[in-house]
Amino acid sequence: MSEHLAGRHDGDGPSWSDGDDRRPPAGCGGVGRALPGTAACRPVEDRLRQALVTHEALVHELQHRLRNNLAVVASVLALQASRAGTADAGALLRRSAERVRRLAVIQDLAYASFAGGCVDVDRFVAGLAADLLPPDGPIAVAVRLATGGRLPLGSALTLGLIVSEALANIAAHAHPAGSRGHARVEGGPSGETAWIAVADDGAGVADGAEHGLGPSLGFMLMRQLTGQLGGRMTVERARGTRVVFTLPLPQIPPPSA
Amino acid sequence: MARILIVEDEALIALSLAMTFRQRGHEVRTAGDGVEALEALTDFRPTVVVSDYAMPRLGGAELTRRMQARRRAAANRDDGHLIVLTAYDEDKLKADGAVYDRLLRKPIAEELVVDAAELLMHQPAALTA
Repeated sequence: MSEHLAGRHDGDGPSWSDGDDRRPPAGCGGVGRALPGTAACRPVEDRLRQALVTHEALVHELQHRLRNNLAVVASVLALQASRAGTADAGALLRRSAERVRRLAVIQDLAYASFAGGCVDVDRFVAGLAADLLPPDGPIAVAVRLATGGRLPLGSALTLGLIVSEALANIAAHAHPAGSRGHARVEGGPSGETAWIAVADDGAGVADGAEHGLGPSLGFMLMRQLTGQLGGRMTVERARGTRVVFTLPLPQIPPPSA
Repeated sequence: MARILIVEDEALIALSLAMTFRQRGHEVRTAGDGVEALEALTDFRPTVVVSDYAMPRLGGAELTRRMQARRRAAANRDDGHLIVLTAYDEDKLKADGAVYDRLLRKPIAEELVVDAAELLMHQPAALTA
């Protein structure tokens, strides 16, 4: 514990040692309960504002560094792919590079949907759909999400990996190269849980893919990660493929404006 | 075939980009920062410049402004199209007053960078504020 938090006296905030230049002036906040905006509080408020600006700049810089580092990792995998001994090995490495690039998208969208300590699941998943199946691409995606779910950041990133795998599967495999198709991303509450479905009208997936049979790493990842969130995954095959994720999504009230 | 100048301080990103451009038949030169890029503009005469933004010595914001100034100083000078390839978002570049033809965000597949460059190289240069 910080020495400034030791021996706190009012239960609402830190106590301050004598001579500490961060100590608020008498009459401000926890010391004398002056009103915010008064002259007594202004120095503390100025410092808080400055700290907030610094904090936001730091978060932006960290996000930039993270994206840049992911770009380096993806470049290494792309270089490795160019030196792969077989076409299959090269393709696997290129797919790995693509997964690394998707991590950056997931991170960005999770932070963009983050408020009050949680990620707005509907906004986050809709953003993933728009990014991974863009409007100018061959797959037209319709999004209808009303789970109302909110997840802590770590769980939301896992959900992002799940949904992005499903969307990437559609982009890569649902339709032969160059042909057009449709996808749907839907979701809603279901008692104590919520469901999110990612569907397409494409070629369909092989029997047993969701159970790890066949070459699809994507389905294996989706299944494992869904289990990590305490949920389950089912695959429906009718006029394409519909993958349904049933997840415990807390209905945490959003922060007040 | 076109001349592509890649400005990037991350050697591995520069290498994978250069390799992909060469595989598509383009002539490539690399520069490690904005200072080297400005030197290369004169003797290499690139068709397209693909530049990182956060770089040592002279970064992307200043590089875009210098390229703009060069164009204004000599109306017929053609330093090529400029693609900024960065992990920053567009808001940051706008706040910096950067001037460019196209923004691509890292990480991005190298093939998509080449696609964007090939689209631009068939258009007249229009790097204007």
